[in-house]
Amino acid sequence: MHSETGQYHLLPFLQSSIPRLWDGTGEMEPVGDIDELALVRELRSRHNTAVATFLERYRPLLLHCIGNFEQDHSTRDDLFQDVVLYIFDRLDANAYDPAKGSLGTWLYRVAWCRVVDLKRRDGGRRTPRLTMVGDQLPERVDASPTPGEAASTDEIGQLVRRGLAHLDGEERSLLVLRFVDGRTMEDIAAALGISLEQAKYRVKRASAALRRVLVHDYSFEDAAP
Amino acid sequence: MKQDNESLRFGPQELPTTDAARTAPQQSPHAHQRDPHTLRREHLDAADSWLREQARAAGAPSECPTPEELYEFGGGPGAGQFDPALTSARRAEIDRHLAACAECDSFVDTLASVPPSPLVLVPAKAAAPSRRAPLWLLTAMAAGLVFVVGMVATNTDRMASSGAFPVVGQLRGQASTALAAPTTKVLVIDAALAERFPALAQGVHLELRSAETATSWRFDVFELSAAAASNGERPLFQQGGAETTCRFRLHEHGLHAGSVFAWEARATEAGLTKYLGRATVDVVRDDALTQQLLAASSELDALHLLHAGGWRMEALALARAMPPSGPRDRYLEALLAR
Repeated sequence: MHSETGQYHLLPFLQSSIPRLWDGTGEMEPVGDIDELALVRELRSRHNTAVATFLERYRPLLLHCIGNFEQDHSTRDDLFQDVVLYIFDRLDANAYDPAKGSLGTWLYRVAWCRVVDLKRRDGGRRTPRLTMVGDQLPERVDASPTPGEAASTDEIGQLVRRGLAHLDGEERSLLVLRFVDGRTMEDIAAALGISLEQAKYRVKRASAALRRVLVHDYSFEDAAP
Repeated sequence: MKQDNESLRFGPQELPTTDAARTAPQQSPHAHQRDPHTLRREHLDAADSWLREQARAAGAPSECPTPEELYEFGGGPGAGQFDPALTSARRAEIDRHLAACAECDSFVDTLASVPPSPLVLVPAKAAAPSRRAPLWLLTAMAAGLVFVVGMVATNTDRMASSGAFPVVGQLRGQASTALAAPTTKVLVIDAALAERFPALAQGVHLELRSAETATSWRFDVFELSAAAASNGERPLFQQGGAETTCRFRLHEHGLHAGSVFAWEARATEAGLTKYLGRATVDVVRDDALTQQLLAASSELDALHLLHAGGWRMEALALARAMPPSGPRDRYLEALLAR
């Protein structure tokens, strides 16, 4: 993954000046008890101590955020570097308003949004849209499924309907309300007279139950002669 | 159905997710034999896509919200602080979109994981070198310790056997949260009960377990109601400061027997606003218990009734109103430690 902040030159600076803090290995150097506003000010000037303090203080927080998205160690490191550079970018742009909340909270939000952005771009790169080159380029790609795709979709649909039929009444109703009727979680909670949290939990549980049934069915199909 | 589930080879947590399927390594075009796990993942992925497609066909918006909107929607740390709150119409749009978009749905799911705290501000100092004590001194100290422990154990047994204060059991495997009380229910106190036990008539007392490193706390209280306009919740009030407790009266906020409210707590610690948790609490009128409490021969009997019924907030209030004593303090400590 590549940084899109245009500040690649910062990485060698950070990694060479504070390598042990950057990679999280070894003993950490003691740093001063610098307050948030001073830290933000110093970070804009890229003072070594401020950067070291920042990394020591907020590295676990940022890694926690990133770890929710990415399990692979090296990809996590790439994301961490990108997120840190992006945060510096945002700080340079005066995007942090201390009147609205603490620096840690703002950092978590910025990191989360950045990772979502990168994940979306990464997903987009994995599934490129191919277009034909030629004189008779259609104005709009025909989005309708091919006969093969339609047959496959029908088959999957039948499997899911069959799986739904195996679920108990409430689980089936929840999945139908959510996916087939397109109801919001709030609507579902109101319809069932339960809290929103309960509704979310039960829909997740119903989805897991359906997946169990589908895997079960698939195992049988696989074993059939 | 239940038997079917039990006979499965995969538990729910072991099932491949659609996200895992999406990021699974691509098979070589020359690989004719594909492993069963990949096939299962593709099978589940196709089923999930089919379901999501139904939601799209039912009118779910296909355009993905911005990350900031998703963060607000998912209630990440500091949601509502740095961006304006989402309108209920926009929340509903995002909600419907999540049914149709597995990726956005998985992003929002990550917000359920609470960030770590406390963050390490100052590295632990190296232990100071200590002089080694002579062996005879260590032996004498150990003997003394055995004696003291024995005396304490004997006294504790005596206190427990007299049944003075309820015994707080150890629940293994139950994660202790920062929210001490109330966590499930509060009792509606009528006039007679308030007169008999004034400590129970002090209103709702939201209480957190102690967190020495935090500097300030914030409480948010909502009424949960299917009829509430937004999100099934009606914000009642917010209170913040240097206290780990918060008091309010049910009737001042329109709560009564049968109401359900939720409270959330946040702590500011090491510059980070940390979400401590949320409890959903039923407001309960229990006439049978009220009669039993009125008939109790002593405060201690009443305490036993409350403790046995799981009325944690009320038990804490009553115990605190009792004369200070070792057993009382230990009971309070044990109740707040869990």
